[in-house]
Amino acid sequence: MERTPGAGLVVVALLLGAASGPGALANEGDVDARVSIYTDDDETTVITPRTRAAWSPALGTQLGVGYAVDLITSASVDVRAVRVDGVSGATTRFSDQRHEILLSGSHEAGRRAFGAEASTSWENDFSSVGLGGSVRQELADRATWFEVGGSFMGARVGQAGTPLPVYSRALTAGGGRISVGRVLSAALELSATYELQHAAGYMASPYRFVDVVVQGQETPLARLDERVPERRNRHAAALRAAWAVTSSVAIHAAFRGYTDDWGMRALTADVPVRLSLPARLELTVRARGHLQSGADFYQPVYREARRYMTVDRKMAPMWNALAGLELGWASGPEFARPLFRPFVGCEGWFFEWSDHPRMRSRTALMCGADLAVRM
Amino acid sequence: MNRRRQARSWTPVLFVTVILWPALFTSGCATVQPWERGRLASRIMQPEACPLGAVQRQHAFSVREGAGLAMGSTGAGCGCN
Repeated sequence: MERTPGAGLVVVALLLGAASGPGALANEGDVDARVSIYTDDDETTVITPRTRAAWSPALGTQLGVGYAVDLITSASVDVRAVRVDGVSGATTRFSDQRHEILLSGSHEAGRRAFGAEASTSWENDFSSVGLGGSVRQELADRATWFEVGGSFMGARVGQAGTPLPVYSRALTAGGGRISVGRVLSAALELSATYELQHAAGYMASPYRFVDVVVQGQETPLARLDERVPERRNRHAAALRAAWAVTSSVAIHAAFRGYTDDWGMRALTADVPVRLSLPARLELTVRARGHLQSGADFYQPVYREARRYMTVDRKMAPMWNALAGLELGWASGPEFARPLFRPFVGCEGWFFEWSDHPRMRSRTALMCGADLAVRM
Repeated sequence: MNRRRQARSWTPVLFVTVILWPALFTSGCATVQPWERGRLASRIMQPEACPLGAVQRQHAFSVREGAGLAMGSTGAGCGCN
């Protein structure tokens, strides 16, 4: 299973951002439900029902609760590589479920806003608990803001078929971020964010094995467990701009640079363009690109056993591009909280690896339908 | 060796991003008054139309790319990558 020591900070940021953004009024609430489907040409499908409810018990305060489940079925090349027994070459499809519960709270007091979140996630071979918090301060002119946030995650990584209390490895991650934003003009906002994270523990996959292949021979000399360092320090910096080109067209642009002490470098550009259409329709056109180097210790083929070895595609040199459309509708006028906000959208996603032995490219489709209701 | 050189070449990029860019846009700009911000307050100026869709998208990125950092998720996600 893939382990992401991320502590749910994006969930914290997005849900708290959504919670504290509009300024919660007392005794207001909303419920949001979504179904997402991911499918790709590597025989993998993930269906995710996700819901969130938020309520404001007092002016400026909002409490939220959320639940999501990933329903996964896959017969990808990685699964086939593990299941191949060397005699029959049989392949097997597997299914799994991941559950996630989120609790969040936020409070605005003048120019200051606080947010906190707790989350837990579990599946048959993995469980985690995450905590996060943030403080946002606007300066006197209300045109500049600063935000500081942090998160911690503790996880147990096990193996399918063995209960977690019987066998599991520990993984912890802690991180922080600092952001600054500024309204530059009546049509332009800019912000910059720096994030760092330290992860310690088991970050390999118990299901991934690395073949040691002697040159000129087809049969692997040995099949060894994947081994990666037990510590990882990660840094990322992002710039974001939001430009209201006209009253009905806004361009959002985000550029992100990433580096870590495993030798991974990455650049990401994400440009959603949002259009306000007649009849309260909204259209978002998104283009995103991601380019990453491989980790220092990644090799497509290992000729001898090494201290660290991986065939993880996430650790390989790779680029991907995503493009998509999302259409939404609001039952109420601009600057009012609508009673209903349905969304529907699809994104196409193409990956290419320059030197991964099992896969050169992958094409995926992600679609979702969402309905937010004000209570 | 090349990796180290590559790592060093990224340091100025991060420095510019973290230090210089905020300094650039937080100084010397006339303050935009609240009554001038109508366009900034419109729905389309929110970076994401649908918050749950954004959560879903970030989760997909974090389990399929190697640069997830804190923009990740508590869970494991698809076990096939």
